[in-house]
Amino acid sequence: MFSKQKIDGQTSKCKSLFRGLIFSVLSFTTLAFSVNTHAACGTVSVGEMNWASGQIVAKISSFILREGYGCKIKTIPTSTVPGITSLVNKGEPNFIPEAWENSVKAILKKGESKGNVKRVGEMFPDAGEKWYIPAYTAKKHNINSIQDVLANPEVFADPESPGKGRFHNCPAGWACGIINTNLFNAYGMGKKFNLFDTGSGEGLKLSIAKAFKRNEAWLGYYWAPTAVLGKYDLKALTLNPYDKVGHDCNQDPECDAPHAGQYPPATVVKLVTTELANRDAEVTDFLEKYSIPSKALLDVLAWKEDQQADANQAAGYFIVKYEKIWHSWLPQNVLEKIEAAL
Amino acid sequence: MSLKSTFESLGLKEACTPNTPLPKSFSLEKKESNFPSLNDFHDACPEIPKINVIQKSIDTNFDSFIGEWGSFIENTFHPFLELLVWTEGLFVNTPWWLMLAILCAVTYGFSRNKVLTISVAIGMSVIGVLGMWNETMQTISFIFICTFICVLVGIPIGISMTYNKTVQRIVSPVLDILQTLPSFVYLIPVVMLFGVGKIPGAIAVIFYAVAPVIRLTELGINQVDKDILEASDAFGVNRWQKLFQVQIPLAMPNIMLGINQTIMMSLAMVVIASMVGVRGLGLDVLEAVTNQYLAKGIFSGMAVVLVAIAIDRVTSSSIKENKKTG
Repeated sequence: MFSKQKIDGQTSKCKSLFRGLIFSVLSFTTLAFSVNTHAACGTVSVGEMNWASGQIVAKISSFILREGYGCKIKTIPTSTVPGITSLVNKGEPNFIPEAWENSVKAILKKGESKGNVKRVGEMFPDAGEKWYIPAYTAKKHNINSIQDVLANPEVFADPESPGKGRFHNCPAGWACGIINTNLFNAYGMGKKFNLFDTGSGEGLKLSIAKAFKRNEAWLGYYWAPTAVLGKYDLKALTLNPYDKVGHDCNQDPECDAPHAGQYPPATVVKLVTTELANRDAEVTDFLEKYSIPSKALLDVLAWKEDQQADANQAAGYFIVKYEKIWHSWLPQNVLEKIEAAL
Repeated sequence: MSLKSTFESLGLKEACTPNTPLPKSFSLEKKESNFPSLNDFHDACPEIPKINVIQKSIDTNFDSFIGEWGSFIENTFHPFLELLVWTEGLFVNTPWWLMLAILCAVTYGFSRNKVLTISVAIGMSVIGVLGMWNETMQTISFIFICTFICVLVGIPIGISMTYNKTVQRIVSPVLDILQTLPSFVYLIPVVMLFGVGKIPGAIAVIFYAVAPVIRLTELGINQVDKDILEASDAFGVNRWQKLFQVQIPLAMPNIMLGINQTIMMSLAMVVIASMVGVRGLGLDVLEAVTNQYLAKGIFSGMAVVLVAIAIDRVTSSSIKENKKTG
């Protein structure tokens, strides 16, 4: 209702400032009114992670909850550990669309045993952390697995340590840094490669961008779904299969016997407080169905970077281009409301 | 609306209609700007580019510049990278007792102060015992080279500013920009050129820390007494003699103060440098901060402080020495 009136206001060629004012006042009151009529949903505070996909999935869900279910939306910018800790302990935010389970297992377990947090399905079906090289390097030197990499350190030459290859590790202090270090040692890379600390997320990302701009080789760690994976054609290296016991040891900086395996498939779930889950069946139904296939999400993320758009525009791009996907989440009456808002 | 009608009334409707229709896009929440932005002008007249289109075209140009010149620039800087790698190797691989002895000798040589020398020895030993020796050496070697380059570049620039008003008019605002521009803004193009590693880190440090040595050199030379200059003229010295034998010696306390400030500011940039892959204490601080490791953060932070205080006391006591003798 709100947006429609606003668009009407714009197209009706109102020339005087006064009429514009009346319109904005009118649309403001309708907004307030529409919130009151859907008392069942109430306020949803959405935990928006401070990276691109986290923002986009927060914007899309906020838009649908607001326009389709009449919820009042409060956006809370946060990141994994503080956001989920706050959801579990304080119930604010009460909905987090992108929660990387692996990094908060203990907190989640505690929250679930107390009964104040609920998982409502996965957000992205195939998220995860891997070791990558550019597809062109893989093709040029026929490198597909970690064994091929070990046989060709000169392809990934490190200018700062002559005679060695460079492995781009995650920044200091990230959990993946410890795991990569253990994997690096377990695969016996130390003699031929330098484990290079990229210092920050930006540093890691820029090192990939630089390599692709110049068609250079690159070897390192990255994760999906991200704009980097959408934008650059990276090929995941084949590593030995995942092993739970080995991986648990790899997570420990003082692991005695690092295991030459790989990362487990990551689970990215949607979290809600039990209070919100029990509040409105229709809303919970949507939150359970809300999930974006990784191909679509990578496209949206790459588009966002290419256009230098903000998260709102990227979410808009998704709504316009991937109608089929979001139509599958919603019942007819909600769809109508959203179509009207558009 | 009113913007659109303004364009129409100016007879620009034709000029505003694009030859090819633009792709459709929309935003879930529109960012309302109080001041009419280019995006509003674009809505009224589609031939006017949107802000992100302009930004994108700058980026595309930069990308093609990197494509053409990237390898050339990277190769030009390669000797500098080798210098940084070599110095780091030297500092890290020297046996600790020899290094400690050299540091104490340098401290005593500059300051002639036994208490200070002993404090430096104790401080460095504490750092070593707490397991941060290698990181500290990496940091010191990195700062050493950065400061060296700052001095090499900064003093001639500072001097030329006193000789030439145009240089002064150009350099002053550039220094203002370098000191206030958030580091990551210029680190993006630098990392795109050189990749992550020591060079972008060194460039970030040098850009930020070169200002004091330039400013204080200029100030010092400008403050030399006019009567002394006249007296030296009366003795018939030439321009270079005047510069090297009169002006620079008299400006020395100020120049040393500038170098001192440059070192302090380089140390302050160590954490930023480590964010683009420079090893050393900065990386430890960063790791502690991202993980909320309180003690580790304090230890590595205090190591930076210790190095800073030592260098500050040594250089500033050498300024006092200089004043006494000069």
